[in-house]
Order: sequence, then C-alpha cells, then structure tokens
Amino acid sequence: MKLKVKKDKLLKALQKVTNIIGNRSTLPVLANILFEAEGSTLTLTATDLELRIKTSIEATIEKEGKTTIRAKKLLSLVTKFIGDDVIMDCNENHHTRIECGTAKFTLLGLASDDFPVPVDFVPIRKMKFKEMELSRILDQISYAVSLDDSRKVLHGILFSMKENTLTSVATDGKRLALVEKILDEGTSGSDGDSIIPLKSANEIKRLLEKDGEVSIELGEKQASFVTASFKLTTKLIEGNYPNYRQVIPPSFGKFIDIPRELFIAKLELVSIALADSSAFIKLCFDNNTLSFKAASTDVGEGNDYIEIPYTDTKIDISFNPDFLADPFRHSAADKVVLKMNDGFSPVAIEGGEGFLYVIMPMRNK
Amino acid sequence: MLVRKIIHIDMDAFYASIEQRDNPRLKGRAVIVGGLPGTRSVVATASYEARKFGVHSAMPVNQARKLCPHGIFLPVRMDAYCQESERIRKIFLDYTDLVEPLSIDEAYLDVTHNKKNIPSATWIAQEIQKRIYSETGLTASAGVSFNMFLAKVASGCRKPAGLTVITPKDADSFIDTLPIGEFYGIGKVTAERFRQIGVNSGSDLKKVSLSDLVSDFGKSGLYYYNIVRGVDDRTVTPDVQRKSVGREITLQHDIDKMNKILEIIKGLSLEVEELLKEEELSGKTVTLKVKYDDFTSITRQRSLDSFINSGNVIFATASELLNKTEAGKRKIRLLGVTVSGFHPLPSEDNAPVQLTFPF
Repeated sequence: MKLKVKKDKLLKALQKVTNIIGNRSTLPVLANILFEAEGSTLTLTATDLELRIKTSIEATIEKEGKTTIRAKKLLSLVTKFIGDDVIMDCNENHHTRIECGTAKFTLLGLASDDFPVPVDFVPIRKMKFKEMELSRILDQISYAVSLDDSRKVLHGILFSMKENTLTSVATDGKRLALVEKILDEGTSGSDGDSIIPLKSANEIKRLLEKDGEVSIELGEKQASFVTASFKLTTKLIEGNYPNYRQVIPPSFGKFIDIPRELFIAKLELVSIALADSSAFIKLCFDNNTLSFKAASTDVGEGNDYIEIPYTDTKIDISFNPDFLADPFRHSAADKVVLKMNDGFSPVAIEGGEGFLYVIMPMRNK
Repeated sequence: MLVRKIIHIDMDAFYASIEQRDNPRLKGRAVIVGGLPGTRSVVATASYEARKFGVHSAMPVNQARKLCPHGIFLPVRMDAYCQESERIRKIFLDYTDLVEPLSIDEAYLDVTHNKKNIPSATWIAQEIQKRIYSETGLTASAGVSFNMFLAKVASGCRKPAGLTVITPKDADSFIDTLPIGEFYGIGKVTAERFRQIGVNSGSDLKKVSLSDLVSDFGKSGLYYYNIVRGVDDRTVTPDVQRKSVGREITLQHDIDKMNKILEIIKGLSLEVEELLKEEELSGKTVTLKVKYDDFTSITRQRSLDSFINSGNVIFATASELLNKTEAGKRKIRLLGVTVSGFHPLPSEDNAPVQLTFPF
C-alpha cells in the first residue's frame, strides 16, 4: 500500500473512528485502525467487537493494499504533523513509513488479515432520517439511559416501531425520556423493538452532521447507521424492554406552563445550596407562584421563586435536582408544559415535537 | 474556645445488679450472669461480691466456677436489661438530647447546654445518679470532664456509685499518673506493646513522638498522641449508626475438622444475613474471627467491591478468609462472622427517597 492524502482529511477521519478504541483490549489488533486503499479511496475502520465504525476519504493511491496501524499513536502524529500532505507507504512486514513535511516515521503494524471481518445481517426494518433530526432525538433522551449496566436492557436506547411511528425511549427506572416521530418515505419492514447500546448511541450522536441523511437498518442482533461520511454497525442489546407505557399516567389534573429558561436558571441557582448527589430540591406550587427550596447540612439553604399561572390547590413536591433539570437542559422549546396530579405521583414534562419526560418525585419515608 | 461539659455514665455491674434487685435473696452474694457452669460460655457480668474472687466479664464460666464455687450462676435476661436501659436513657434525655449510648449500660452526655440550665456538670451528674437510684434501684458511676476520653476514664475511677471530675486544670496530672492499660482505646495487647518500649503511664506516653506513635501504631497512634495531651475532639453523637453486624459462637468442643468448621461458618453467615435484613443494612467488609484452643484469637478481613447482605456471599468470603488462618492445623474454640462498612446514611434523617417506576 502506498498513497498520498491531505493531512486535514486524514485527521478528521482518524478522529471519527479512534474514539471507540479502548486502552486495554484482549486482541492486540483492536488497538489498530484498518487501512484499505483501493481506486482513489482510503477507508479507515475501527472496532471494539460490539461496535464498528468505517469512514472513507479521497487519496492519491499509487499502490493499492491493506494494513493496520496503531490508532492512538497515529492520531497523535497526525495531530502534531506540520505540512499539508501525508505519505503512507507500507511494506510486506506491515511497517508503514509515514511522512509529512520534513517528518519521517515508521510505525509497526499488524496484518490486515487479523482484523475482525464485519458481521453480515438481514435487516428487518429500514428507515431514513435527516441527520439533524436523529441527532436531536438522541440528545433529548440519551441522558436518561441507565448507567448501571446490571439491567442490560436499560443500558441502551429503545427504538420501537409501530404503524409508521418510531418511539425512542430511555429510562433508568427513575425517569423516562421519550420522543415520538412519524416516519415517512424510506421506511419499510415490520413493527418491533430494537435496543441500541448507549455507547453506540453516543458515537452516532457524535458522528452525525448538520446536513445529510442517515439510513438505519435494524436486524435481529445487529443494526447499521449509514451517512455520506460514515458507516456504523453495532450489536443490539438482546432482551425485552420493560413496558414503558404503563408508567405514563393516563390522565393529569394540573397543567402548568413553565418558562424554560427562567425555570432552569432558578433551579440551578437554588441547587447550589446542595452538597451531594443524594440531595433533593423542594418545589411548591401555590397561588401563582412556584418556589424552590434546597437545604443541606454541609452547605446551608437557598430559596427563590418564579411567577407562574397557577391557582389550583397547593402542591409540595421534591425531586432529584439533576433529574428535574435534564429535560429542560435538552429542550429547545421556550415553554414547557408540566403535568401533575399530586406530590407523589409521576410528573410529566412535555417540550413539543413529540418529546415527553416522566419523572418520579422523591417522597418522605 | 468554649469548654465542653461531658458526662460519662457507667452502670455498676448492670446485669448482676438487676438480678440482685429483682431477687433480694441474692443481695450481698456473688452473682455471676452469663452461661451456666458446665457449658463453654463466658461471664457477661459479675457482681462486686464475685469480683473479689477474681471473676470478671468475658471469663469462661467454668473458670469462674473454680474461682468462686459458691457463686450463683444465672442466665442472661436480655429483655429485662434492655427495659432498664431504656428507663435510664429517658432520665438522660431530661437533661440533654446529646446522648450517645456506648453499650447497653454506658452512655456519654454532652451537657454544655442542658435543658435544665444547670451551670455545673457535676451537679447534673449527681442528680442523674440519684434519679437512677430512686427510679430503678440501681447504682451508676459517673465521670465528668471536658472531653469524651477523660469523662470515660473518670467514670471508672471510683466504682461503684462513684463520681470523678477532671477539670482542665487537673487533666495533665491525672493523665500523667494514669497506667497505660487504663487509657480507653488501649487494650491488653496494645498496653503490652507499650510496656515493652518502656511506656507504663501517661507521662511516659507523652514522651513518645507523634511520628514514632504513627509508625508503630498507625492511625491509632495519632489518637494516642492526642488523648495523652487531653485532646479529644470527638463529639457526642446521638443515634450513631451501627458500625457492624456480627454473630459469634463458642463451640461445645474444640474442633479441627474443616467440614464442621465450614458448616458453622455457613450457619453464622446465614444468621448475619438475617440480622442485616432486619436492619435493612448491607456492608462491604466481611470479618472472620477465630479463637484457637489456647485462647489466642485472630481476625481476617476482606472488603468487597459492592454492598452485600447475602448469606451466601458472606459465607463465600468468610470461607476464603478461613484459608488465611490455621484452622484445620490447630483446634478452634470460637468462630465469628461480622459484616461492616455500611452505606452512609443520607445527611438528613427524614430525607426523601427517590421513587422508582414499577418495572
């Protein structure tokens, strides 16, 4: 393999694929990126066996071929190189000479035959999104995914397709975030559920760009996400996602318009009085006022309020401050609607465009 | 800085005194509460009459029987003792809410600000002693000082029914003459180590540098360094969370058969699981205690990555720890299993809990 490539393009491609490479892996070749030079295209691939990311760039190829090179070392090199073009020349021992400007390196690689081959799968569902749109959906819900991986199915995002509607759901058992979207052209296949691992969802979110489309293919155990600039394939989490519909209260007695920016500002302000993660913030809805109160034995206490349209019976309710702030931080809507019944039942927050958040309050023992 | 007023109240021969009170024929006689002679259990409390013969708590009852053959041996009536303990605690609470029980028959009280606005801690201690006697018929000894360590040592100075006050002015001379074995927190073994390096009293201990103490005794070294200078910043903390939950058993016969030993450890592990579940606790650290037939005892400890309360996990950990003992090679007299390292409590007692979805 021998080729010349624009340094900036190479750097961008390396940044796309290198993120998933772990520091300690069982297979040495997993620390490497697979380089494949063919025609006028250089393709880079990285995998951690669960997740595989591939991206291609233009290159002037003098001699086609394949090799693998240590990802993190190469990324460090290219980041620091001074010059416009990078020349890569790999011999039969998988030693790759890499030159940029006046710098000359030789990196030791491993045979491309050692690199895991992609897993083929039969898609049972296909859909298309604008990249921006998928990115927004993931951003609106992925923070609610359970970080505790003891319940495997909650450690991912549910893509549930039913009658041309895709419902994306994330929950950790204490709060749940959901976005519903009606799919149009480019959708095919049967109704059903797929659970995308959180790590894969985060990578997809990172790789998505402003313009362009993403094609999604969901299989039994594998899924792929393809745009003009990358192809990501991931294993799916096996198992049944819990029945999330049952935690959404069928009806609410109180609907309150909340000014998003002001609410989040006051919530974050009053939370400064809290000391640790087990802390809670008390909200009181009464007489056109929403007041915030937080206290901790280590720090002290804080109070503030905002005016809201509320004339119903008084409600005192406590929340984990982060769980309450999350949907407001990840919403673009100016006004958010809060739906409640009382101080100890689930509360729903709606932010428009199919977004729904359900949060369990904290209750005195 | 404000000088604190701490009282330590220690009931005199608590279990034995209750038995003597409830059965007047036992008054003036050597009463030994604990297991019955012929068994391998130990003395819980001996009355002062029995102590004259050298009987003391934690001594095997058979040995107590040899020292004091005419003694009256009684079984433990824990319910009755707990009831008295609760009555005494209520008396304390009339003076202050800052009451920290150290065991069923001892407690620290911080009376710096007391509910009756009595200016002198000594007066309070006297009043408490009188009330305990008139309301329960039992006697207590009291120690009064400006920190917990000195109050505790003081209460042991004149027993029974004594009162000892250590003022900041007296503290130095009191500590100087205190034998090394009487410092609270210095047990038999540590006291012996001190004697070997020529430290027999408080004044000797003062001469040892902090760095020497820390290198010889670890974290406890700092505690020794401070208390001998009358410095003890611990505060009286009501309702201290339990630090450990454990069970131990003195065996009917010394054993060295591994399968029998493991069977007993399994039983203890399951009992500890039950106790943990009763108190809704789970801990990270499992400790195995082994006492050999020559009465030397050792403990082996392991900390796990997560909080556990399952008997099987406790058993698995304890049996691994057993490999680090001489079980099987030497005969064993006692086995104990303890779980500690509990979840810290939330900062507020009435802190709300996060509700969860019914998935």
